[in-house]
Amino acid sequence: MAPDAEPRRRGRTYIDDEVVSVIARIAAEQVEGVHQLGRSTLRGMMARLGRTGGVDAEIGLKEAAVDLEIVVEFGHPIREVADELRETVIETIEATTGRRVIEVNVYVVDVHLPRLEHTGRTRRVE
Amino acid sequence: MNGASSVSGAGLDVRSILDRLVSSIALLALAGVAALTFLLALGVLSPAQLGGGWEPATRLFAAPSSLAGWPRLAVLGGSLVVGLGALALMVGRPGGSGSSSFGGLPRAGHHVVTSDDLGFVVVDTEGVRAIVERAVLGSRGVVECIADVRGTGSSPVRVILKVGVRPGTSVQDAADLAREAARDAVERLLGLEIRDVSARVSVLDADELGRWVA
Repeated sequence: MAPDAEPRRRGRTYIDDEVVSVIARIAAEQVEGVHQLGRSTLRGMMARLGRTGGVDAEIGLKEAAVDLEIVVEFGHPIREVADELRETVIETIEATTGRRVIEVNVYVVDVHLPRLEHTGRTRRVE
Repeated sequence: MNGASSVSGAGLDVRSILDRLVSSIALLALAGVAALTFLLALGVLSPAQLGGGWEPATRLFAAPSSLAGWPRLAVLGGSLVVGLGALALMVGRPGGSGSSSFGGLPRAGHHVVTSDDLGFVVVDTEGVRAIVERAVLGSRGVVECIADVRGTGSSPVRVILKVGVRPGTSVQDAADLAREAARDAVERLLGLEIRDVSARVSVLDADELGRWVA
């Protein structure tokens, strides 16, 4: 290695998958219509203990890819929410890490339903 | 990831594999200890069996099997929770045998909203069902709705509705409104193609109505 080489040529910067998961989570939470990331089941809670729940990211030296599990707010068109989510996540990861995002998969696992005021299954008895 | 693409320049494979291997072994050990504790507390295994004649081990294993009453129940419950938790973490963690990656496209129980070069967007059938039911419950006169959603992957969705309405509601109108609400929810909110919607409407009697309406 030449001593006068640019600093960025003197070694490599590795980014952990978990860092990308956190970045993706923060970006996803800002998207309107996304109620939460990950399932609200026991498995989801347990997964959150070990990893960033609802986000599975992979990053190399040049590229990154992300899988997202989301719960969508009822009333928001899912296609639009997912499109905006993918755009936001791609922009944020690329701007933050400098890696090109090659894949963002979105899995809508559930829908968050607001309580019905007058009727419905959310309130069987008073 | 699940699509055809793989991340280039992924230079941390060995470290990543080691990390996953170590944590998987640790979780497996935790699940094993929890299972042994559970079986000892349940009385299925005896301390002598596990200790193999080694006195300190036999004494250690005797602890959970000597419990009775509430402490025994607490140990049983605690070991069950810890064991299942360890297994859930093992299955749910990235890179595990049941990775939280979605495992390819399409999968049974998923409806494909988008699939392009950059990946895919899928909705779980439960999500589709929840959206349809809530949309139908917003229709005039409808008190109860159970939706059955069929047709997964990229195929058009079929919706079968079982609707309960208030006495005095026109069954024909309720059926039309319910079907329209379901169709609108699938097309507008989900962006999925719909094949057909069928509705079976029943008028709830006073008792049934009392169950559903506060």
